[in-house]
Amino acid sequence: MEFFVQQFFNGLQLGSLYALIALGYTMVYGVLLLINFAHGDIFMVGAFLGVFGSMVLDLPFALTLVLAMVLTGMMGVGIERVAYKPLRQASRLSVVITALGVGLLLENGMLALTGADPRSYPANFIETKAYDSFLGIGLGDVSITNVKILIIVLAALLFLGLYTIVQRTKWGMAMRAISYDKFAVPLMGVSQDQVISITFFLGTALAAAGGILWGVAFPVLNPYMGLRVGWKAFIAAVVGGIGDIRGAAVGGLLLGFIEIFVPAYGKSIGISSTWRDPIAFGLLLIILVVRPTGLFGVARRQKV
Amino acid sequence: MNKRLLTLLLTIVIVMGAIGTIPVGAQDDCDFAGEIYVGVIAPLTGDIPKVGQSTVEAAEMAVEEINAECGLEIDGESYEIVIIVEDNESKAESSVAVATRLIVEEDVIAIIGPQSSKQAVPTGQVANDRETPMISPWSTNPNTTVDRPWVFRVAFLDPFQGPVVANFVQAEFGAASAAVLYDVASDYPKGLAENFRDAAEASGIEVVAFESFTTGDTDFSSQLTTIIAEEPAVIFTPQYYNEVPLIVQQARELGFEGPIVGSDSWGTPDLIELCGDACNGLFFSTHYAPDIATEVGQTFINAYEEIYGAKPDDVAALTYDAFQLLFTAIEDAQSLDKADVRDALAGIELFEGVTGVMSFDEQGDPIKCAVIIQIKDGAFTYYDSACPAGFPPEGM
Amino acid sequence: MWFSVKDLHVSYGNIRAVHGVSFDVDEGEIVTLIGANGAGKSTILNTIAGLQTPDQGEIVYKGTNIAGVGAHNIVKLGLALVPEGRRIFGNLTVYENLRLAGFQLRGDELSRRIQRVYGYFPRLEERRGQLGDTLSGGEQQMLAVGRALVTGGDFMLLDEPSMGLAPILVQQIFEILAEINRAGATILLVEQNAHMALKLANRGYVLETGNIVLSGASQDLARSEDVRKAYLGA
Repeated sequence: MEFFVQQFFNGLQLGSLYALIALGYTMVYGVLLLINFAHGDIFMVGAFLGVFGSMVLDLPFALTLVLAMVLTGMMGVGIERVAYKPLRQASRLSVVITALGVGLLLENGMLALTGADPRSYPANFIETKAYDSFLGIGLGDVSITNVKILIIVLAALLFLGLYTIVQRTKWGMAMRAISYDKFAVPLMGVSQDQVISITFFLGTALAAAGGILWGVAFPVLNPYMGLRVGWKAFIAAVVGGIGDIRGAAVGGLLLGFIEIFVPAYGKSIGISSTWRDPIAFGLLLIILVVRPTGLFGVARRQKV
Repeated sequence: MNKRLLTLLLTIVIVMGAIGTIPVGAQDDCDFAGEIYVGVIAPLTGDIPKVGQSTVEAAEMAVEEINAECGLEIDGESYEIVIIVEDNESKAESSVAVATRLIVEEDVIAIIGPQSSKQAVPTGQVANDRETPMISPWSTNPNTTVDRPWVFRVAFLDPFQGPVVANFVQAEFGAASAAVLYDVASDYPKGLAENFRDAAEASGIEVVAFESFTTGDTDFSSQLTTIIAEEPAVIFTPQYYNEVPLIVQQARELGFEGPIVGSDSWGTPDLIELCGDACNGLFFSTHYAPDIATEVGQTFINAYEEIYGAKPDDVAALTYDAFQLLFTAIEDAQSLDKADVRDALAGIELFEGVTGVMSFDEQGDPIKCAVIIQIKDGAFTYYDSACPAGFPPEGM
Repeated sequence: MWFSVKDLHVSYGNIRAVHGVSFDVDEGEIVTLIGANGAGKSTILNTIAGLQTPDQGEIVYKGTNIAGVGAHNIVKLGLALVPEGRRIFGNLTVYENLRLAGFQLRGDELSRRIQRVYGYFPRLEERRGQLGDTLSGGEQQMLAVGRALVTGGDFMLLDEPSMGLAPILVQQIFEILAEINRAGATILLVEQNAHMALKLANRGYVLETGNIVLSGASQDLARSEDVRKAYLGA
């Protein structure tokens, strides 16, 4: 039981991080039908802005987080304006290649800027503490740290905040409207460019939050860190149903749990932890075979 | 304004680049009959750039020293040594590609590198097939040299290192049980994990968990939770400096309080910086310890520190030794023919390098001592030595 | 003139859809453009609404040339297009569709206008929490007109509001359009259903392959032999 509870929290932490990153993929896809392959690298930039905020400016965690989210968000808006906007009428392939190019630019730019040496946050950024009890329940051998709780709670709050924006505000309505029919949105007096910019801002700001929390949990940051994480979060978004933010959250959590529980319990049925990735992604593939549009996705008729 | 700034920057870069290649010492007085090209393959970018940096620093130092003494003398003529450095991005496929390029296009007499077994094992095949001597300074996986007469190395092997660590944990901690966490997708950790397990079990340590992950993973919480549930006395993790901090910190967060022990891949000083307090007091086995260096070692350490402002790590020391071996072999051979150089390398019986005295077996592998290092007060500190039976020979 | 189009040319790539069309609309009028499929009617409306940029020509509204102004800014000037095929947001509820149409509006004005829409179309109020995709064709058309009302158009442009609807529903919607017109809105109506359009409108223009071939008061056009043959099925 303790083993399960421990693994559950391990999975929840990892899944929350994937979910935060998956949200950005899904939001951008929602408004532009664009898979922003630079998103993983934007996540990396967010994590490095965390290094900048904490090491260079000597800011505390909360301020560093806000600073990195705002700066990365602005960078996201800039990337859209400069790289993607001129290609709105271009073929899907050109946009995908451009996105990959933007990703390479960010990676190598960061490499040139900071060098290849891995970085971490200062020791006093978040002092890790383990709790003895959780909600009044003694934890026994289960180890839950403030870092885990911080990541899980902050990810949940950011998701709820985003969900409220998308569901309750007029900007959120405009985002959903664009994803359904971008032709009619300007007729409502809404600037398509503004909605797209805000979407990019939110999506990339969340990636920055994900990057900093990732860096707190796994404090070895390098310019290539966004590649694998980015791909995994993208897969999470697709499995959840790309375009739907609940799907991104669920897909991220699901991937986190699978990655934790497969090696945790695989052994008892004779599967070594080596098989984690094949099994994890095999399971996700099965979900896509059964539901090609993902868990929350709906097949959409093609608009002309 | 911008243009002027750019020009200024460019000028600085060019001037600094020029300084980097200005020959040092008495080179101007030498009358070189030609140049000898030596290829260097190092992970300048990728997961472990510090390893690449140490490689290049040691290589440049070794070459500058020999050229200051008018290079190598063959048949009464002086030859200047020129190194060609290639980045393998810490990837096996890139390593194979650059090795081929060095051999085919640059016509190098030998290759020093690659460092990690993950790259050294496949690259050794290329060197052997194309009949070019290769010396890997740091690779400890047996497969790098097995049945490859053209491939040599300076580091001891995992089948030796595995028992060294197993004996150490038994003697030091009285450990009756151990767990292993290693990267299954990388030759070095995989080989060493297996060697450690076999050695531990042979000496009565029960290996209660043998957990793996794959290169690039950062979350080890699932495997560590499994390991901790088995209550091992010690965890052995033969990983690199970019992974060890994550493993140690996560193990501590998950409540593991016992010792965590490593191997020579830990020996990059960046590990201490990335790991912080969490790694203080931990032990690992490696090739040399600066604080017990012999005269040969001390000369190297002082010179290196003077040039680069930091103590050389094991990669730098081994790379420097690899160059000395190559220089010795070329002078012994008195030939620029690759086959002669190979034969001369194979003929070296006893060699005293920075990393100690070593002799070579028929596979081209060194027989030498290992040391145990403790991470103490933010530095790698000598703790103990472990030598093969009957080594070093009397009088050395 | 309150609103006039002068020598308008529009093309899609190499295909010229509208060549040299001129017409005008006076405040308070209902004017219809009739013509067969492909005559360029929708292109003209989309160009007025700012979705399409003209190659040449002027679109003068209240004394200003608005040709080439972006769609979301045109809306702010008081022109509202009800597009062909209704184009309601199927993933938004009825209320959200109306709320989005009032994007520029503040609380009181917004709810006043939405209430006005509910006044014209009580069905929309009943279904306000329902997703657009679940509405019937007639309800979707009501919603599309409702959205245009919320954006606050003094000048409403309607593109084929009768398309795909049962005659009884068309009747109903046209009655409401007349009511909206009486309440002060000027209407420019594009229709294939010339019969209904001419009954509602004060004046009409007949388009053929990008050119206006005939114009006049609705009664006159309805009596014209050419129009009867071509569009009224007589």
